[in-house]
Amino acid sequence: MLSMLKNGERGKVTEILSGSDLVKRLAAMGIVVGSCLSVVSNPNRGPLLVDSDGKRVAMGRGMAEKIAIEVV
Amino acid sequence: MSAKKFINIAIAGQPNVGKSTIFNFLTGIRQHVGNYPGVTVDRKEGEVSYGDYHLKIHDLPGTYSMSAFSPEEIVARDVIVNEKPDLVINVVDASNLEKNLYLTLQLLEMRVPVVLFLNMMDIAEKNGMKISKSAISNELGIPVVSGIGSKKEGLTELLTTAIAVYEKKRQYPGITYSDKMESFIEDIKLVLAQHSVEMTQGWIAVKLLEKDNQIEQYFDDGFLTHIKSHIKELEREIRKEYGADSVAAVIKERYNLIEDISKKAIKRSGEVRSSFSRKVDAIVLHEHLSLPLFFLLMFVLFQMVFTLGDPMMGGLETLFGWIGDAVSGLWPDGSDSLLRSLIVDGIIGGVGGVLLFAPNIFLMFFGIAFLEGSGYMARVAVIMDKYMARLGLSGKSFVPMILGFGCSVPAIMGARIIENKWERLTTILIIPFMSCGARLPVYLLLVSIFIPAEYQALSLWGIYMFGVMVGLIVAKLLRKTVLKGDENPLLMELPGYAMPTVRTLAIYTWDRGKHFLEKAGTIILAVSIILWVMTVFPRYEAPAGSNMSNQQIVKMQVENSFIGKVGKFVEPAVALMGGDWKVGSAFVASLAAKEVFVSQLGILFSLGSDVDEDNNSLQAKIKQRYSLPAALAFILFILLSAPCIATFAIVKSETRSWRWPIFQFFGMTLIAFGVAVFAYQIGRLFL
Repeated sequence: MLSMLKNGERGKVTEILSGSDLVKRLAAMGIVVGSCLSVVSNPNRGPLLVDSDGKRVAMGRGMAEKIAIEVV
Repeated sequence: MSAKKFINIAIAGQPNVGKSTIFNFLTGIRQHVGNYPGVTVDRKEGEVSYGDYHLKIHDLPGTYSMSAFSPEEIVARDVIVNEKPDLVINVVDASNLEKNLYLTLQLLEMRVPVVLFLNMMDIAEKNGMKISKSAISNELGIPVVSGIGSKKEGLTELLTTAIAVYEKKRQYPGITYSDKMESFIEDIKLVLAQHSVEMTQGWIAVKLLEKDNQIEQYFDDGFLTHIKSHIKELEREIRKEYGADSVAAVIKERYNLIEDISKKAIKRSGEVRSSFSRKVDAIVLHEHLSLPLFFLLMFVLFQMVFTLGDPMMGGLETLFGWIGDAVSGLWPDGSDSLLRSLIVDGIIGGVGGVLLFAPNIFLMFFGIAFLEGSGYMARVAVIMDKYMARLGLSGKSFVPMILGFGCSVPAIMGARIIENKWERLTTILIIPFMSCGARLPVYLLLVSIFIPAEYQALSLWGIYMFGVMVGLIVAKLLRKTVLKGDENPLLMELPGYAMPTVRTLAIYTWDRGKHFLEKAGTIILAVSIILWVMTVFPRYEAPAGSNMSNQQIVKMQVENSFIGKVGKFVEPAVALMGGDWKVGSAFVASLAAKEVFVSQLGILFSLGSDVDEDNNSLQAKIKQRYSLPAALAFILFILLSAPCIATFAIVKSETRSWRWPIFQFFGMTLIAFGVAVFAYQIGRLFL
């Protein structure tokens, strides 16, 4: 899961385990199955900061817990 | 002279692509900001004449996609479907082209003529991107123009291209996805043909595959079940082809096409990433540093407002005093003309008294505009998210709350950025607890009387913080009771840090500040007149033969006026917080605007209306009359009590119901009363 990655780790999205609303919302921001994401900061609590193709995206922890990721 | 041809143009684009800058350059000041019916999303339109054409340009709200996630997306979509613009200008950030094309494809699915404008070409080039316009144009079948919106580059070409597209009236073929996807779409179209659908069928088919509930609502239940069962059958095949459901399949098709375009049209040399923003974020969003830094910036903001605002306020005060005297001088000396009193005491005194805060409020909004334009405000939402989550709100609620320190009216409008309707409503209800600029003079007056100089600044901070604290507690209670409801997880793009341009700062500041000026010109003007009427009627006639001084007559007039009677009516309640009818009537008058409390007390202590916090005789009288615990109670009551009339009106229009402003009005007054009485009664025991 994306929420378990440490600062600086990169990974590829393998699955988004959520209803179609969230899948569409993420897709519109460029995050789909196959996208590369790197974690800029993953604090103990609160939202994660993720780099997606050079764009910084802040993402609620609950959401990051639904994004399956394969570390590369 | 032949009549000009009208062209209806809509500008679409994702957030942070410089769409508004282009819209502002194209239309100049000929803009009209309204509202879409039924939702609180700004509707921006402007007009421009160009050659033989008259262009009506509609700036759609910035959206990442054309699904139905937010009110903005629904609005943008409805405009294209229902108002059928002649063409859409799609502004995209060239340096982030692939992601931006996701919206472009959805526009093309709607079979609307599109002109693509590649904005921010300078940044794309700096990042080592070479973009072939002709390749994109070939792939998408639409004209492509490039430029730099912030430097006005490419805008003329954009207009001429738009006109050419209009004149050719060429039917654009629209994009096609893979054969298998197109066959699914055809399949659904066949079913749709049985039902008369006014919208583009191919688009409806795609939206149905995307399980778009907004589109599904368009059909009656019987037909919808029919289509849905049909799609369910297709679903099996889709799963076989894509290994995913239809929603994911559509997304995949779009990104496949984008990848295709990207391969043919974009050449990248080297990876240039903005490391600057990254370094700044390492500090700004640092786990332990972020919060202290935020408080430091807020402190600087407030100090800036107070330090720069004070002399300006003094200047305006002199100006209004001068205007009042000048107008007053039009009547003979000692005249007791009611008209003079209405103009000088009612209108100039009332509206002028409120306009005094314009500098403070504009400075506050200027500072906030700077923090927004620089990219910091978006981070505040991230920093505050984890704290706000405990209250059932998201970080996005925090930004309008900060605006509330300027003036509640634009702050409540600013709550539009919150997508979740429960969170938005909660935020709207607690914004007036953020102490606005108009409440400051009340604190200044009372604090300067009762608090030793060395503790005054600290007391002011305490008052502000107490307001925030009460607001947050109320938010939590609301979210646990009347405003339960789902939460929206935070998902937002953080713009890169940048130095905001003077133009942007000016537009931001003016956009918000003007609401304050508007309310001074409308609601506050009206309420000032009403208050004046309530103060001078019924007329008090000094008994014949008595030699009362002018001041005594004024005092008797006020005491026997309607406002005096209202004050006496609320006196028993106000007495519980150590006040009398004078304070009571000042509280009632402060509904117009909180600072009226000061001028009303001035009148009641028969000093005329032109008093301020430096007026020594008023201070002496107040000190002699009220105790420290009572003063504290008054401050708390002004801080927490019912919002001013203008706030009431904006809550009504933003929530589209009377229920919420009335609820807020009584709720806040009750809280304020409880807290003030408690403070006075406890304070009395110790002081």
